[in-house]
Amino acid sequence: MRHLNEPPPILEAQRRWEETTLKRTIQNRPERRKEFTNESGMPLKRIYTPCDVEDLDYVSDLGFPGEYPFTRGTYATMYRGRIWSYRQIVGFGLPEEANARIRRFVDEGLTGLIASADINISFGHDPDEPIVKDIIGGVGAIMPSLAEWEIYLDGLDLGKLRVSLSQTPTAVIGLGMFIAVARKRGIAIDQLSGTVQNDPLNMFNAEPFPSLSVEGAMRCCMDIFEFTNKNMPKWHPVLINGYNTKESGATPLQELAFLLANATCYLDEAAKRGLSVDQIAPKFAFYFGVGSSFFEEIAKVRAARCMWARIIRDRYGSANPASMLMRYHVQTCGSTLTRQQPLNNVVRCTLQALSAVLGGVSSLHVDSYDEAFAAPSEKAALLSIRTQQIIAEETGVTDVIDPLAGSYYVESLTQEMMRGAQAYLDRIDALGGVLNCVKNHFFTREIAAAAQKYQKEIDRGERTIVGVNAYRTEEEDPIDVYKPDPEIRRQAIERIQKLRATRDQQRWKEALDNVREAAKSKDNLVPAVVEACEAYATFAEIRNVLKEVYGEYEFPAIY
Amino acid sequence: MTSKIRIVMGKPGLDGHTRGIQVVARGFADAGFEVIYLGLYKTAEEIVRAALDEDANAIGLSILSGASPVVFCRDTLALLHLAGADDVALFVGGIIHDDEAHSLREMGVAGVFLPGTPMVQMVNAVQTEVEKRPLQGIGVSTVQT
Repeated sequence: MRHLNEPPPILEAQRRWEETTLKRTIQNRPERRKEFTNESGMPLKRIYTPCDVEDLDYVSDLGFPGEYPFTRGTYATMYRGRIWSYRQIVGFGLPEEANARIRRFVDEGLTGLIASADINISFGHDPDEPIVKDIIGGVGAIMPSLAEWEIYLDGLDLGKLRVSLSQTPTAVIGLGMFIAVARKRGIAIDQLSGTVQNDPLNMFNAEPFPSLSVEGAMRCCMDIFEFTNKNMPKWHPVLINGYNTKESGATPLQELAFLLANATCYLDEAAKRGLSVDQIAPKFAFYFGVGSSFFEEIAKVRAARCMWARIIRDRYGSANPASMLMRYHVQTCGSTLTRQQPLNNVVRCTLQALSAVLGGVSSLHVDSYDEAFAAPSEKAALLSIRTQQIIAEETGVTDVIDPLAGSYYVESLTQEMMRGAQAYLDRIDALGGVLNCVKNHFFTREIAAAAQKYQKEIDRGERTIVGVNAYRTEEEDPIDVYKPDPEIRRQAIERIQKLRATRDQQRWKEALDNVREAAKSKDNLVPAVVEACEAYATFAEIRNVLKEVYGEYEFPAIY
Repeated sequence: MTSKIRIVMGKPGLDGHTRGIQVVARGFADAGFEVIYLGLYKTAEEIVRAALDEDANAIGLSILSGASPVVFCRDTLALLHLAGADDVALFVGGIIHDDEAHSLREMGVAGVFLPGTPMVQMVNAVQTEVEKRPLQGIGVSTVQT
């Protein structure tokens, strides 16, 4: 029997190994670095043993997939039951061009769509405004009105193809357009399934789009929660966004912590509208970026699932598994992709996709190798789907649930992620909560500091980016890159001018007035916005009415 | 150069991708430049006005939205010219096609920095360019708003 003061056998053996075999090897050849850390700054041991996880309790810390604490997976059978959704962003050029690609990709295996509208339009500018100039159609499909949204979604089975609307500051308008399309097709809105991103909190901190004031943005957000809760039981009213947080420079740990914090803020705000946790939380969806730190990203999402389940149980007092489960979408991190040697990006995206799958993702967008050049070319975009199909069907990683569980390293890292994220959540609470932190730019500063650190590591050669600060080639073969045809702008202008001339002016004016009145009152905005979409008010026109009432958020110039 | 290089930095148009300009602004500040960071959604008029008001030696723009930099740079250079401030060097970084980079240099943009450009290269480029240009004193602002 081992006495209390004797070291356990493993530690003994490890000590012996360190003093003999390891010592000899290091004397011959020192390790590559004095210290190894991951992107979140956590020190990495050279090896993990059962001693690192001896405090873990399998049942309460890991459990089984599809039930509390969900560490091992969102659903009970995971990919043995159903492969994750191949859900790609498609948005460029005229809506018929984007529609053609979506249709083609559905035939090629696409099961989900992220609808992305031209950024100018999202920002409150119709295609013929001077500020837009020639910068239209390069990012997002040009769909200023219901007419274009119909073209974009033409011929798509909205029951089968899961649609996620990428709008956040203009979420209520994106949702309005989608509902208007469905109504035209005779689809009852209580049958509509899909998602709208609708995460304004994220937008204040991370790579922001122009936003209404905090008050206005939160009002629109909550109106969507309320409306969908009552009328659209299959709809996800929010996609809580960590991706943009990560892309603006946050570490994986920060992404996790800030995402969870924002999610709790939405639950708290919803409660003020009389919406309970068990009404709202089951409809939450989440959105992570997965970057290149392979095991760290896996630990992050396992930690996320467990933490969300515990937050629902402990902070909100619900034992409802539907509230506790975390379904999430992943996009591979665009910021890791390089302009130099673009085919290297195929490798990066593949590894990131694999990392996402081993973590247990519900739906996945894989970036394209031409990310640093333009919106994806058709060739590059198709490869993103093939990447997912090859992982799903050729590797066997989908045949066993949560295959990395039990790894001393992965479990240890998962626990450390949870501790680190909890420390952030406690700090955010101490600072007065999420809305206070937004006001005081806490998140913005944390993210900027992380971005600076990462860049310095690259500049000093401490972090290698293959092809950029190491292994450069001087001559590069050009790749085909998407470039919007200048003709697109001319057509977009012609269409918007025709729309203005032919729509029912009376109906249009009244509809916009109703949006204004609804915005000034406590009436839910969604019906008025749907009506405005049906009256062929444009995205920009509706947005500008909301801006009139609520004003715009002033982003701080922080770096 | 005995005085600090003053560089006005901002993001033109409808582009919220802040990470690039944030790290470059910090890099310039660490290199000893005086950085005046204007933030997001700026017009050419606002940027040029700030450059004039701040006696800037240089302007740095970041465009990461996929929008073309050509039109914005052309407008910025035109406004600088109108204000008699051709000595202010214009630099732009971001998602820029090779043929656009060529057009930009032709029209007088002092430096085009594509993704992956090392910080030290950008610092040197700005220093070299600014040293070449004599500061002609405060430009009279004829910028219309």
